[in-house]
Amino acid sequence: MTPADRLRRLVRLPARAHTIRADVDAEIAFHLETTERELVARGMSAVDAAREARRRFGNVEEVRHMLGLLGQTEASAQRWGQWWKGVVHDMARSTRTLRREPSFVAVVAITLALGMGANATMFRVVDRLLLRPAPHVRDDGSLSLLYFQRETTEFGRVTSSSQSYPAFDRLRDTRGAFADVAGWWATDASLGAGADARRVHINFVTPNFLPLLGVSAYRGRFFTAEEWEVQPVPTAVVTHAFAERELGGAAAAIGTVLPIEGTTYTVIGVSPPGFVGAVMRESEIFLPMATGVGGSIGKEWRSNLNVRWLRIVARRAHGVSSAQAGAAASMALQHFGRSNKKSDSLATVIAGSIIPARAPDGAPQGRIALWLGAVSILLLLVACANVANLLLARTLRRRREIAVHLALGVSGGRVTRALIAETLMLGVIAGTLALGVALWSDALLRKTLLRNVAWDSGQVDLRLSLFVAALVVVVSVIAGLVPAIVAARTPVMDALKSGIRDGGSRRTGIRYALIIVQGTLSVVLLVGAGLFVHSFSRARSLDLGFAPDGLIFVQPQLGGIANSAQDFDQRMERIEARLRSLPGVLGVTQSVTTPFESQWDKGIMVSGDQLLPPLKGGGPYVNAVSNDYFTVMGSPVLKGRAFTNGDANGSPRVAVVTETMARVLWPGKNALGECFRCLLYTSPSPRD
Amino acid sequence: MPRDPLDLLQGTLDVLILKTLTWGPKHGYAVAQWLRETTSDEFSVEDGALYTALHRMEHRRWLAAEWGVNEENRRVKLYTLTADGRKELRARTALWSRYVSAVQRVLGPA
Repeated sequence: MTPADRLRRLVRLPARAHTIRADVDAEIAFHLETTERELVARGMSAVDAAREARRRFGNVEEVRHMLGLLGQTEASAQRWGQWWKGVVHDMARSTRTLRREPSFVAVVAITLALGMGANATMFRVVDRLLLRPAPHVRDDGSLSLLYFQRETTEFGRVTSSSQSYPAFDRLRDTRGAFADVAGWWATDASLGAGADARRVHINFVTPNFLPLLGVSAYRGRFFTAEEWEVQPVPTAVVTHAFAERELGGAAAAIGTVLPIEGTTYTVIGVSPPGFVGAVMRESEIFLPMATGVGGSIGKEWRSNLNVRWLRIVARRAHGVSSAQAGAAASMALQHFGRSNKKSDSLATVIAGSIIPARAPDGAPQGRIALWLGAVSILLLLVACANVANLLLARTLRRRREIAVHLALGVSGGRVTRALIAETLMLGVIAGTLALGVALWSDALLRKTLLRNVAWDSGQVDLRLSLFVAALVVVVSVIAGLVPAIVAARTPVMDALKSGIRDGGSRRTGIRYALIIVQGTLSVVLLVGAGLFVHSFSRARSLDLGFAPDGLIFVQPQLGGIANSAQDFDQRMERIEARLRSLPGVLGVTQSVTTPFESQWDKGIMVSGDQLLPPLKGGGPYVNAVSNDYFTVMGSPVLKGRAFTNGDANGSPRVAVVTETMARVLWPGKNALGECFRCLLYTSPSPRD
Repeated sequence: MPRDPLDLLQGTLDVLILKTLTWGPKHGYAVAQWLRETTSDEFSVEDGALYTALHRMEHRRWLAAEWGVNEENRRVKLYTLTADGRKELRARTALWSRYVSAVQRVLGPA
């Protein structure tokens, strides 16, 4: 028996297989020999004695085998018990050791918590935005959001998601592409009247919208097919959050009436908690399209080819891929465009993913999420390298302690295990902190970079906890493995001698490598952050052409109230007068479009009948404004004059053009006094 | 010619070994020898079965085993009775007495 085996027996470590066999053999051999000796002493011959001894014993081989098995069972049970005791012992030792070094624990825990917390947040964001469709949308692979792409000469490919109603109608009939097509329009409206009126986020939907998405009513029912009719009963479906907040709960909501912009809607159903529609936009109420769209788009909304307001979601026919559906729909749309002389003749339809952030040409939220995800992974790597370095330094300090363990016969694997247990404990502490960091940064993100997304309120749920737990294990292994292996390979004799140098060259090499990794990643992060700040400050200081500070945009919702164009004008005048009388208001003006919010383009013709070709960035954009527009907006009129009261209905038509437009239309000439013609389309607003 | 040796009833060997060890630690051979002498060779016990029983009882913590050295400096495995073993011995002895008296009552005085 080797000294190691004797030592194992001495300290009651479980025997190894060969020791068990050796013991059994020794015991049986002793018995047989003693029996032989006794028999020989009684007068038997040696050979006979041996035979008799074996006979008395029974089946020696069988017994030997049985005893061997018993011994092994015993040994493995002991090993298991010892393993468990070892784990508990490791945990206890780790707690004791770590308690003596609170500042080290704090530094490591905070470092790791920041890294893990950022990743946990990004996991939730990426999961919610990029991996799942909007809540409660049943994605069985056949749903598609439709997008429309056009190649423009100056600006390349333009993607939009809105269409006109006639185009939608045409797409609905596309054979061989879609089993069902639904549309919606997300907008804001006023609920109530007078001083109680407040803004609500509504969706005008086709009656098949909710069933197509695979949503079932939480309470009540959804719209029926009859509601396609032109004069339907005004019914409404509300979201669960709205019902809880305003109507006293889902059950009580059924049957309540909602006065929205002049029409009284009866609530017939409540959607499941968390559902907001096909995209992640805040939604409170769903209304049938036919009941309210006319007020905003105009009474001819069903046949108006010029206004693209409707978003479309479709369920592809069985066995039809997105590409096939897109191709079929493109053909239909192009044919439609040609027969109606619309630019749809040049457009292609893309049957895109039902996950809104995966729109072609990338929705900004998706891209932001991915970038932030990459940044947080880098952060975590930096944190791990940092902590690994700290742990390595600590391991080197405790070299002598580890050497004593190794000299006592603790295996290298056991030492590694103990150190990893310590790292795991640090990881668990960091993980708990990380959950807190995740919640905080989650709230921060929702308020800043990722607004306008309808988040479900879920705070700490099971998926997040599991993710953080997995992170804890991964991080502990990454950060703790190198120091642990280094510890296990400590040269025992050198470490036990006193007065040794601090670390051989190989150890220093690893530490330098870790520092270099940290430095590189940190520089990458710093450069990225610097670029981000730079772009951000440039965006903030852009010359917008007007003075935004102190400007307030007011959008009165008069859709259902104004009876005629004249009535509309009078109401707007009254509103303007009331606003002017408010203290602190320097000027009020009216405008059809709002910078960054809306655009209105028309065909412009100069001399001859040549329509101006499309410009880079779209346009040519027009706006109809009242007199004080340029003073209120802070856009100086460079040449000529602004509008005055003299420019009313009946006086010669005048226009103010931008410098850019003047250069395009009349290059080299003085634009004052020149003429152009503006093509008249069917106007969407009551004004001429 | 000695009488045909009796075969031990199931479970009896355990109680005999336990009792044997109440007189101090013994190695396997010593246990076999003691049993032979005390029962005057009435029982036929294969030594192999004895060792199996010893190891089994060691596994169940009724016996504790330790390797030691005998008078001739040979390595021997000595078995000792544990507290659990003593408890088991008491229980089984009581059971045996009940068993014997019940049988005796049926068979009646010879």
